Amino acid sequence: MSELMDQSGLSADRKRGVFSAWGVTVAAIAVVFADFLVMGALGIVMRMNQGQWLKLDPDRFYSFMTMHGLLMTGGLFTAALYAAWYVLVRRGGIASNFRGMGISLIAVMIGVGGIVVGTAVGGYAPGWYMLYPLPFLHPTWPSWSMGLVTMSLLVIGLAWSAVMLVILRGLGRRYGYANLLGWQYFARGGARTPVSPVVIIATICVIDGLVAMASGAAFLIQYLIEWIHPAMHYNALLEKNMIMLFGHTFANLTLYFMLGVIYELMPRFTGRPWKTNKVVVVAWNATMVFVLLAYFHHLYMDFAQSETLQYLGEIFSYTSAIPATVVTVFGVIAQIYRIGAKRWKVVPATFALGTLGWVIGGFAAIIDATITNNVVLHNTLWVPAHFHTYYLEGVFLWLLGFAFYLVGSRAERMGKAALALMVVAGYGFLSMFYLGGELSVPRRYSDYINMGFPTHALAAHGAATAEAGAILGGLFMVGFLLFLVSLGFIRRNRFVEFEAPEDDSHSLMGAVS
Amino acid sequence: MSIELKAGLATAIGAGTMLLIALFLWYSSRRKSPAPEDDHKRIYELRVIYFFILTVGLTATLGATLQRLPYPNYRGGHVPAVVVKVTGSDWLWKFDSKSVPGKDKVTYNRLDLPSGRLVEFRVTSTDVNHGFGIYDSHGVLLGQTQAMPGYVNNLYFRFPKPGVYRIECLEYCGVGHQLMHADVTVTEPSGSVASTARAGNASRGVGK
Repeated sequence: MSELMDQSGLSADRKRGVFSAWGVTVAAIAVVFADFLVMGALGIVMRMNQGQWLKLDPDRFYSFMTMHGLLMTGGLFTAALYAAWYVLVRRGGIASNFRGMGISLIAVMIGVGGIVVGTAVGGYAPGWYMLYPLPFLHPTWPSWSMGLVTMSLLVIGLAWSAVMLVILRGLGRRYGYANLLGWQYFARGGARTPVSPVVIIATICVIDGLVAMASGAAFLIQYLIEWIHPAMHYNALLEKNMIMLFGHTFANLTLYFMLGVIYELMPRFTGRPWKTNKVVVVAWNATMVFVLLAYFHHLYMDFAQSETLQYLGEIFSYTSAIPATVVTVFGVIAQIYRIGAKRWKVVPATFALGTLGWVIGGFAAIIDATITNNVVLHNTLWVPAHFHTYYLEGVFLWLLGFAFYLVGSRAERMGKAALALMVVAGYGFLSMFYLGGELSVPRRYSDYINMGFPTHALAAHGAATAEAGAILGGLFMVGFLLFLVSLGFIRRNRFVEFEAPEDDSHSLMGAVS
Repeated sequence: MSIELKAGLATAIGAGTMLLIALFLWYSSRRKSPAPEDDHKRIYELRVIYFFILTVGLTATLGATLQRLPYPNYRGGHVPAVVVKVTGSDWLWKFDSKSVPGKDKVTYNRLDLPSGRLVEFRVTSTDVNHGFGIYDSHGVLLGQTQAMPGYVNNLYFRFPKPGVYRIECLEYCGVGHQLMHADVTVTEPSGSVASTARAGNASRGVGK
């Protein structure tokens, strides 16, 4: 702290603000890493069960599956949200709000506690998406567990919405609401307010995020009403649309919040600018619309859904690939192409590799978002294959890089070794899902032993890929533990970074070390 | 092409791509650009080319794939030879083949059908969402639709050749999900269409 205060350049208030933001962000990341360790272990246990190395009761397996799905996605979203908030505070885009962010984090943790009790103790097991009306019909779980998990999710959603509103309000006050989407870059003449890419991306995430939260809250509140008044019933197709609008958007925004962080931090390590321009503005504004309309691809196999919506699902899934790869991927390539050994550090490496994971997961998603392919891929292991790719080798690697930057680790070699292990083992782990999907193995099966003739080949494929997946998943976790150790070697002058100059026309330049 | 060969080929392509990317990263981390601005210019020139190729490629793929959809309107005016009402319930499949001439049978987890004929499955559910996935005897998924309460999804399907096919549930429906399957025995059509229940096999699942 004292070395922080000794540095000149920023006001004492500002430095205190950044430091408090740093503290609450470190806490959020630590909580999410602990969550990842436990949920990752659960994931491996599930793969072991599918590979017949363990013998879990199906109700136990499915409650693990529900917990794993909810708390992995929820944890990664929380981390992405706090990371984006931190870089915005750091660049002076918004004021620090230690108390608000701290309370939100505690609210999220209370919600997580509710989910753990509801699933692990109560045995609540309808999957993360709790597709209507499964939570209410033939349940093997007590009614209270359904109510508890639903209320816990509402608490978490409220906390996330509060954080997003804090971000939006802060940005609006700092840059003017009219400038947040970057439309001023198309204005003729006159002075325009420059905004960095992270500001535009965060704004888009908040707008879509609030839409997603509204959709999520709507179906959760409906669930609560039926929980209290069991005579109440809803339309299953409408509920599924609401759930998928929430889930699809939410998963994508986890990626986008982190991409904002990448746009902001990457230039500090490569020394190359990454500016806002018209192409960036158009690409991200298009993404804001596309991501909300692509979710229809989750309902291709609901033949009762309007065919127009099925068309839209495929068209918007495809078009969403254009701004994503043309702008961001080429941006990352321009950042790292021939940067040389000196600048090839853990942080830019995780950012580049994470972008690769995002692209590969996205490509697999496009394959599945093609209706003719979806006929033979929907609800096979291809689906967990693609989202584990963009989560595990995408969002998670980005987060590791962010954590390395945040604590100011100097353990470059150890970090790189851990990263290499996580990439090799991680893609091995993922390829078992892809292979399973290619071999038509269904997802969300507690085990494959009861499939029997004539699908014995399917059962064998399911078990074999699960066994290999469990081993490779375990190796990934070893890599993660090693990375956690590398985070312990902190640079002495880690807070000197707080003194870096700020310039809103583009992301900051100049390496930190 | 066998499924193992296909999977092997896909793995090889995936591994090859990863190798190329690894080489790019290795090269980038070893070589320092003498003039990053020139590199940027070249990268952004490439980006324009990529943009056009991607847009044309995606549009062409959309054009090609959106003409062969699994929905009822795309069956090309063919009239189904057999209509089977399929009802999913936790955790069994009920088949009602009343519309088959001369037959008036309801079967559970068992169904007999002719090969090569267009079959219309009218799929629904009495409780939660299920998935009606048709697998062949090698465990390859051939087609599917959802079984949703309150809705009927019409799936048109032609069993390519005689044999035993398998229905697996493809939407998570509770703790018996992995046990919810049915056998479809497909035989050469011989005059009248067979769709008979097999006594004693009415409850292979964990039906209740």
